[in-house]
Amino acid sequence: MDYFRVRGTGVSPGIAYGEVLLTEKVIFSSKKEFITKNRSIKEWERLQKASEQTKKQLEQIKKEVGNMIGEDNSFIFEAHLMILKDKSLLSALEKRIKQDLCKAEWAISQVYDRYNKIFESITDEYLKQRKSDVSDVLSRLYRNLKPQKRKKIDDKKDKIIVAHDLLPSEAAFRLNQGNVLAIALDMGGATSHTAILARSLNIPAVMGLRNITRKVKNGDYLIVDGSDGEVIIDPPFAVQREFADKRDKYDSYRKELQKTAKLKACTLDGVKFSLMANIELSKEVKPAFSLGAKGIGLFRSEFIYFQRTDLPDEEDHFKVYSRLAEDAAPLPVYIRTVDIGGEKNLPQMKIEKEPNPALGLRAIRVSLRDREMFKVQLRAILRASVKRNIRLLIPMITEMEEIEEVKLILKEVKEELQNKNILFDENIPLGVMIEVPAAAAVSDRIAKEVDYFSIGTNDLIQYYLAVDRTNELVSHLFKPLHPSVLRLLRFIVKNAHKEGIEVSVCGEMSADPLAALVLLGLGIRKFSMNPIFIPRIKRALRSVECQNIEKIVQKAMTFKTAHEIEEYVIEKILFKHPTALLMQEVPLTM
Amino acid sequence: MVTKKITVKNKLGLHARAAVKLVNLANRFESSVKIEKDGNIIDGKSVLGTLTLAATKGSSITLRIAGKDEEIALESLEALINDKFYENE
Repeated sequence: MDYFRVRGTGVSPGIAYGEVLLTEKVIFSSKKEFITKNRSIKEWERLQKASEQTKKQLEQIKKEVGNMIGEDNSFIFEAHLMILKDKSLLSALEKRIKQDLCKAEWAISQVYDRYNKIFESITDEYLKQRKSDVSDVLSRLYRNLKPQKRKKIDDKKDKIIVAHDLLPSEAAFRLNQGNVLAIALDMGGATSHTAILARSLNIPAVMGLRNITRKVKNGDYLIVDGSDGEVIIDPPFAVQREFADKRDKYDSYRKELQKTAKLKACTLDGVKFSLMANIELSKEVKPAFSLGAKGIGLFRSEFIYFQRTDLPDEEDHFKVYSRLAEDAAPLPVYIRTVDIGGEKNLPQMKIEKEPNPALGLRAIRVSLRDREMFKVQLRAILRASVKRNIRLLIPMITEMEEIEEVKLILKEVKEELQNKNILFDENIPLGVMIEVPAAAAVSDRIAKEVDYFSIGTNDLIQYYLAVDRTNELVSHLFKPLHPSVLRLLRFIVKNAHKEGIEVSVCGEMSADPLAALVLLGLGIRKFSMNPIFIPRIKRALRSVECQNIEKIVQKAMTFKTAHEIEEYVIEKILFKHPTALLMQEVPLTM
Repeated sequence: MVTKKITVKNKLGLHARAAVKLVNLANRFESSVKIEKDGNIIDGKSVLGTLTLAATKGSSITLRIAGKDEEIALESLEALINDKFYENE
């Protein structure tokens, strides 16, 4: 039997074997076959039959999605049903078949092209996206023209998703349903949001496969090897067995990681530290805890917006937060209010394109501009706080006035709830992200006003060093160990300690063993990161004496360059603790 | 026939959810419902037509309704649009 191996980029490790579910992107026929007039009547009947079948499928999906994640989310399928029975769509199809005397496939492709053109000419980005709804419906209809070999479209069965590309919203929606074995995409890379989500949910994924969607069809069987970035189509038995072995090895590696999860988070000299997870979906709490996370250090609430096409209401927010609080209890959950704007734009928010988004309307600036929306989120967070394990985290604070404003609004919302006799945590801790250099510079003042700091090192370093690390021309200048960065971090930590408030780091520095050790030396005891990095950071921190690291870092800060600092720290740490920086037996290329 | 010019006030304009509400309501009446924007006229009983109209916030549309129940149809549709499709923003 013939089989194909296709190479891409492994973006989420692990191995899966299963059936293909090809999404969207049906290639429409470009062949115009003429038919007789009699035949055209049959052809129209064939299309109507396909339409009837499509309707049944959509109703079924709508019902299931509604049961699974709420009626609100199944709404889009109602729109699809209405598009399907739209008179203008049907009459256009009928006309094509009966007047042009051509096959139903051709008729659909023509109508598809026409709507594509209309939607392309729309300038409003959000409404333009509705194009995908129309193409979704037409693709389904097209597929149903051919009698399906399989008994029934079973979208609930565990499948391997094969697609051209997945938008973060689609990915979040699909992965949240929990029946995805693996992902294989034509496009995408390791830093895409879909990749991040796949990693945190422990779903193997290979991206950048270029034309995998053209090589497989629904019902094919695939091996997706997310560790080595390979996809094997219709593997013969011997190959299946080889990969089953590989999967077993990977599974035992994961078990090893889980053993690490049970070890105490404590340095050799008995200094306790705490490792938490950065997540985007409430579903991620349990996988993160199984890797040893002791709380959710950062919940990126903007993902509630990414999963839908309209604005979420208070109940939508509340459902997510209360599930988070429940799954994590008694461990803490730090909910960061929306960080929208910048490069994370949302069509439903209608934020104008800005010349300089990183310096523009984003995060708390959006919330303070659209206070009603902010209040909706605050009310939902408060209502979900009855277990007293929720912390409120405000992003992108630049000046004291913003904190005052947030406090006023928070007070108003609390009073509203009290008047309605709704229970909530009256002492919900209020903290701020320190990620703008200005906030870092006045962190002594801010520390008197808030309950904790969370240092977002990615943005803080980007703004402080004036380096966009995604820009290849300057990314080599993005140096977390730049002496100026270390001074700034030390300043923030000292100010927090002086006021006796908690300080944690939730940027990528937390996930890098060397940087995490330096942070430990600077006095950080709480770290939050993508959960898959928790085991390796735990091993690194457990294998050192904190006292010793503090001395090394203190001395390192007298050096002039990031390079000197790095060399010195590595040399000294390895001398004292030879195993600290070993990234042992990690069988994956990240 | 009755006609009325209305400004779309809700944040997202005639997006999918609003379009579905509008079309569902329009279909409850016997009268024909046409919507005009910038010279384009579409069938207000068609969700595809309504979406392709691309009526964003602040755009002005004209309802043209003709039939037995045109008065009540206009009144109901106007209320829906003015109430921002019962959305919270």
